[in-house]
Amino acid sequence: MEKWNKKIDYFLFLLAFISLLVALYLTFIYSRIEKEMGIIQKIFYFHVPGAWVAFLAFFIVFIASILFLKNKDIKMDIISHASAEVGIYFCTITLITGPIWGRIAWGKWWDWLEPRLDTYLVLWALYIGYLVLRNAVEDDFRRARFAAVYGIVAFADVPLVIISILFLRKFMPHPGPIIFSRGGLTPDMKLAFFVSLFAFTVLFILLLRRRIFLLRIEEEIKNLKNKLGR
Amino acid sequence: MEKSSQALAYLFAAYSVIWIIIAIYLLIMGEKISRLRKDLENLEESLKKK
Repeated sequence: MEKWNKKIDYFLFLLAFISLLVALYLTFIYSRIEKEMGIIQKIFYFHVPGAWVAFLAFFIVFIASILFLKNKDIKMDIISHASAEVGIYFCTITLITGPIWGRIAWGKWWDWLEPRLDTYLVLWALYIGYLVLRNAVEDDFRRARFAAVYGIVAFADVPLVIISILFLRKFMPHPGPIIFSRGGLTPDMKLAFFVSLFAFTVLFILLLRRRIFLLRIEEEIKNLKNKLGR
Repeated sequence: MEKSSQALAYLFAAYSVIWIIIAIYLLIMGEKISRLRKDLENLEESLKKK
């Protein structure tokens, strides 16, 4: 196996730890309480970064899948597998924190007529399906090929989620349009939001690197077993 | 006031969810690492026998 630079992991761990602590301070102490929504608005500082990281993870799956189909490089398959797995956890965080916010802001946990919620739930289910598919196929190369095709097709839901968040507004408020419109956030709220976004991204990169490392070891062990005829 | 304290409880619950999910992920990874260690030990033993 190629040499793995552990120093990068240590650095990422330190960076994630410090930035998460700073994000915690900025979210709960430094940033003001929003007038209309009240204290529950602070969920946005980790709900939106969670969604952003999930999108980033699925985008990596998409790119790595294309590269796998192009070059037949198993490393790309390992990257897409790791990214999908870590992305699902962040997707789950968004999927749980959203309804908690909705319970206070909207008065209900879920609204099936909200395209934003439905498309995001579909996204989560699609990538669960991706992992199920990976477990269902025995042959390594076939599994990688099927997963790559699936990873490319599943990514089609990501633009749908973004479009539904930004443009398909129903009567219920959502953080997306507020953040992306001018004057939506005060400077202290912006600082809390972007530090939190940074902290989540660093945490994701760290978890992704560790997962890739483990998957490579799994691959090596499998190859050794094959050589020994076990 | 009641709504505000309820909102605070929900906020706390939401923030905890993040760390519960990350902890679950790390536990699963820990499980995988111990399984890999066992696999490596077994492989070492079979290599010694050979």
